[in-house]
Amino acid sequence: MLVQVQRIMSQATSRIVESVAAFVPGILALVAVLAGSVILAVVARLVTMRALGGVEFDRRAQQWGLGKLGEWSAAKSASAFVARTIQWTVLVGGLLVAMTALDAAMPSRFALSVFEYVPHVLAALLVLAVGTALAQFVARAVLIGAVNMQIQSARTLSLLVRWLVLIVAVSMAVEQLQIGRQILVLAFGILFGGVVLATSLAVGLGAKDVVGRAIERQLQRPRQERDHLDHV
Amino acid sequence: MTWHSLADEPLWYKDAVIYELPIKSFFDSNGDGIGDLPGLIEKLDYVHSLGVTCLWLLPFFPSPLRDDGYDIADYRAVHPSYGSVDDFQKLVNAAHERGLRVLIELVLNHTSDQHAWFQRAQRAPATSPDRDFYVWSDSDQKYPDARIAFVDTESSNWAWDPLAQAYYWHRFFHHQPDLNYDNPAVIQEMLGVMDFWLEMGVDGFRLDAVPYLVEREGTTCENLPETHAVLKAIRRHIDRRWPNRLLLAEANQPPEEVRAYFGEADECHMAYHFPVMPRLFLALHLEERDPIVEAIANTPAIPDTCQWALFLRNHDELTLEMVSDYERDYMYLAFGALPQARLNVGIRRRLAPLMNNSRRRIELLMSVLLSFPGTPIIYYGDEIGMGDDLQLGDRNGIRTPMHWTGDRNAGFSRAEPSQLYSPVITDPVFGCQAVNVEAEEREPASLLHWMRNMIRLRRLFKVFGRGGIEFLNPANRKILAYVRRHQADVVLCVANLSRSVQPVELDLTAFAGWVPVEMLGYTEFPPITRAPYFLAVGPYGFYWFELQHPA
Amino acid sequence: MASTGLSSSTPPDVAPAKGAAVVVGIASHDDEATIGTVARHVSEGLYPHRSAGCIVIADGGSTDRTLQRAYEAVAGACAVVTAPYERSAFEPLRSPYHGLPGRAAAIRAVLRTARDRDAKACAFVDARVTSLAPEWLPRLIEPVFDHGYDYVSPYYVRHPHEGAITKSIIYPMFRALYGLRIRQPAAGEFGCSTRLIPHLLDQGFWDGEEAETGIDLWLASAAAAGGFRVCEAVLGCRTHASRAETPDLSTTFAQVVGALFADLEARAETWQRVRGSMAVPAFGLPPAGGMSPPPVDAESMLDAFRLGFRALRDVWAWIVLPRVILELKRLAEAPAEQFRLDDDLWAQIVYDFALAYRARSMPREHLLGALTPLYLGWLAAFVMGTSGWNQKDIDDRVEQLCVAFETKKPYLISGWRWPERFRA
Repeated sequence: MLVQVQRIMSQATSRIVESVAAFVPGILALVAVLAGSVILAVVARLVTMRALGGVEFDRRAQQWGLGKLGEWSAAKSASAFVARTIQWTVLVGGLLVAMTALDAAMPSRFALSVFEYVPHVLAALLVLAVGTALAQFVARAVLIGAVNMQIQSARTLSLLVRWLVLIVAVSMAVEQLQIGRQILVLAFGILFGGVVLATSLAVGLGAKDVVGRAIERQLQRPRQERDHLDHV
Repeated sequence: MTWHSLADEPLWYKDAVIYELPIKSFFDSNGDGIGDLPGLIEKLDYVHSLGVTCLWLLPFFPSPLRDDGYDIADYRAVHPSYGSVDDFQKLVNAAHERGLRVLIELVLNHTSDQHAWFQRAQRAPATSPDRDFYVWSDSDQKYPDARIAFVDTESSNWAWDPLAQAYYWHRFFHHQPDLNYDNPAVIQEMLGVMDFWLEMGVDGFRLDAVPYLVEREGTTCENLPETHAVLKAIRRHIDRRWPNRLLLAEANQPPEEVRAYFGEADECHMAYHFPVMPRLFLALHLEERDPIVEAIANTPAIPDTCQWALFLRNHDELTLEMVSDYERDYMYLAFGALPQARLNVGIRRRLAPLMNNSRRRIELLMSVLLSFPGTPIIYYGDEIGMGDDLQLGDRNGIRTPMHWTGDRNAGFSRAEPSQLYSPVITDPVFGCQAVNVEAEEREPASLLHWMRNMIRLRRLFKVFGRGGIEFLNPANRKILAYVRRHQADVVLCVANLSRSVQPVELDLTAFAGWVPVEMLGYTEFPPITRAPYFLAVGPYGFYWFELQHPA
Repeated sequence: MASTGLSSSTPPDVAPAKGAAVVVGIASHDDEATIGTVARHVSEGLYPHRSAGCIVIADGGSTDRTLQRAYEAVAGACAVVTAPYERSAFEPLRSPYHGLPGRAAAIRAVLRTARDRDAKACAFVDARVTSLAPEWLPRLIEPVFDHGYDYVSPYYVRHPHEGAITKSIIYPMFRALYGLRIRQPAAGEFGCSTRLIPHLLDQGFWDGEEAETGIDLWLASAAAAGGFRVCEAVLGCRTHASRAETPDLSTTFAQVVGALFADLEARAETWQRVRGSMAVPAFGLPPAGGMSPPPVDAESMLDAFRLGFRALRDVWAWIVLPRVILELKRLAEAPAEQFRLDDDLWAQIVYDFALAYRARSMPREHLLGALTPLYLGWLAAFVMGTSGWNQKDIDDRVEQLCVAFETKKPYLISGWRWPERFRA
């Protein structure tokens, strides 16, 4: 009995020791990889900063209208933002590699999938940012353009365009994130198809006279206005 | 569309507005706690938006930094903390792209004791050419009539060098041995240094401490004819090889002595007008115009192509060497109430604290600076009303990091606060939370926007930079009134130096029939008649009038 | 600059006269249909100066028989040289321009030739101006020779309803800015003196992006701002064969008004010092006979204005004062017969847009696009308010508007100097 207990105890102990022993190299590797990635991340950031500084990235970014990049993060400038992003990407990458080094199947598969996912998140963020800025700009351009073409519903048109750009941006972002994309695409399709169908039905049936007159008005006005008057 | 970039205008410095900044204090791009050249390039758009037309960079050369960079260890390189020579070239290009000119420091008088020339001289035999780069003596009793500049720290202008077994001459700190301008090789070397920077596109030099270049027994060793001969040689060299470049002399001397540094337009193009600055402060405190009028009246005429450089505050203490003993005592009582604010013969404070942070007083002084005959120099941070830190030694309290935002380190650097070259100002009135560029950009009525508008307005009128000045003499001595005139342009400036509204009757009979138009709002005032012209000027108020000819 | 023989098909320069007293530039590009008549009329117009005259064909690389036609038409009556210039590269995103592509480069080529040849006077015309008559040349040149003028600006006779951008904005504002009553400062042809040529060539605007569309106006402002003596030459009607499809109104409007606003920024030092305005002498008499009125639909312009108010009110509110928005609201609701746009109000609106253009309150193409419906409102009011008037009454009406622009100028200056309001 006592011997049995002793055996079990020793077995248990040795198993623990064994598994810990098996684990230690992984832990060491993890620590080493982590430390390495921290260094690499810092180096990567510094190198990026220098390189971007060399090509005067910030001023160019201002010109491209990306000056706001710096405002979203704690970074003070667009180049700092980019450098910081790279630094964190390297860090996260290092973390995932470190987890793989632990040689456990679960984390490594998880790590791999996370690893694959990071660029998508970045791309989604970029798409959203550009989309929002673009929506504002395009909406105003459409509004002013439409007014000058004397399209009576210029405001609605501009609003539609703004939302269209926004929705496209959001769907592109979601597409990048790969979250329920089918549902979204489907919903988008249904909504858009529905609007088109409803409009054509309305035109075809009930409101055909009204719409006809509206179209006539809109098409004819500019014609009359193009009266060969030399304005200059 | 930039139609008029850096045109080939030989007199550009007359129309310039100069912005003075130490690179280490402006913006830190690499997070090491010290401002640098790439950081300045990043902030050039800010400087440009201010409307200034010229940058004056404090020394950025390799140096042990025992005198804030004025102790230069290598004239042809950039201090590694600030960047590289490549970075400097980028800065010059980026500045020129924006129509900004670049003025750098040239410390002619002395080097650091770490400079290769000095170390060579120490080891060279006593009569060798290498030794001859500096001023040596076996006794410390030569040139006894020379003043000692930094009375707080130095007791003699001679220092013993154990290696060379001789005394060397130093006009400033003992670690700054004076170069020997009796040696033609020294002049040749310095001309080579100038060519090095001019080649990179630098638009001019501020020549530091020019009166002390040459020493002679039996004199104060200041403003000697031999010194002027050196400057003439430099000017000849510049004129021959580098057209339209500027020499700005720093000669902390009475104007009649400074006058000599213009030569017959064959020495320096510009020189500082030292006495006018303390007298502006004095006049404001006394609430009467006499000190200013006297200072200008005692200013000698200068050649047509020359110009005075004017400033309210700069990187040094508000120096009181050029005022009378009475005035100095008054200034100490008035502005140097805190004993730690005094340094050497002056007051080490920034503009805003000197003005007790009164926006009206700051604006009044700025309006005088921008409308007086000369080229105004604005010290970094004064455009947002930055404060100073009296706890820091020497003049470091007025050289703290620029306030960009209200964030950590005032947005100046991403380093740990303890790593900054100098702590950021944090007091509740002048701290970066209260005074910073970001906040003032956002606030349309801020001092920053006011400065921008005023600088632009000044630049619209060449008369400010080029015209002559005549003071009016109204009975109310709290009112400072003067007429600036250049060709057909006539501008009348009226300033109230007191804290309460003041009436004034101006004798403008010479302009009878003319119409004063207030410049800021473009408001027409009643036409001038032969009767005294009556105005009421609000507390610390000022008016700039464009006098329009009736025809 | 002058070249001898672009290709084997180009005839050699006829008598390259060094020291030509008069240089007349003709800008062309694939203009074989019209250049013959233009060149012949120019050479006929040059008759009194023909020994000392020289025609410069500034050609942008024509691929048809343009150059031959020109040489044939002149037929040795006076010297002819060619001065090739580079047409601006095709940029798909640029808004179309109805004039000569690379017009600024053509003008520069002519001015350089005139300078190199030491010409005493220089004139510039476009090869597509079909109405060009021989008497145009003496009118463009003789004020320089006989009266010492430096810049001769053309004055074309037009129907009151034509050239409304010039009448409503360009002329009044140009006049208020530079103090010279040049009625058509952005018109196509010009004459200039030998004194003015280097001044024009020294200007910084030649290589700018908007140079193609703005150059005509900028030449006039360079002459006016430089203190040169300016006069007008009355030339009759101007008709021209169009090079490309005319762009829509808002594009043309943005080009013309944008050129004026851009000029403002470059010459702030000058125009802020100018007070009042001076008439400039006009040489030549307008041809007799009335003009057929162009079809104008004031009602549709009014609709465009009302639509603009409904849709762009928020955009306008960024640019003009609240008081102006309320005034515009009143106008948008007013019936057509009571629609009157006050001159002071119009001047203030234009000045506000000029200030916003400088402050970059929004993208500049948006800004100018937003001004177009307001302009149509002005034009509607102008057409309705002047129906049946004679030329004299119309001139008085425009004069009144100009006075309003001059009176309002301090508003522009103070807004320029103290732009606090725009820094939101």
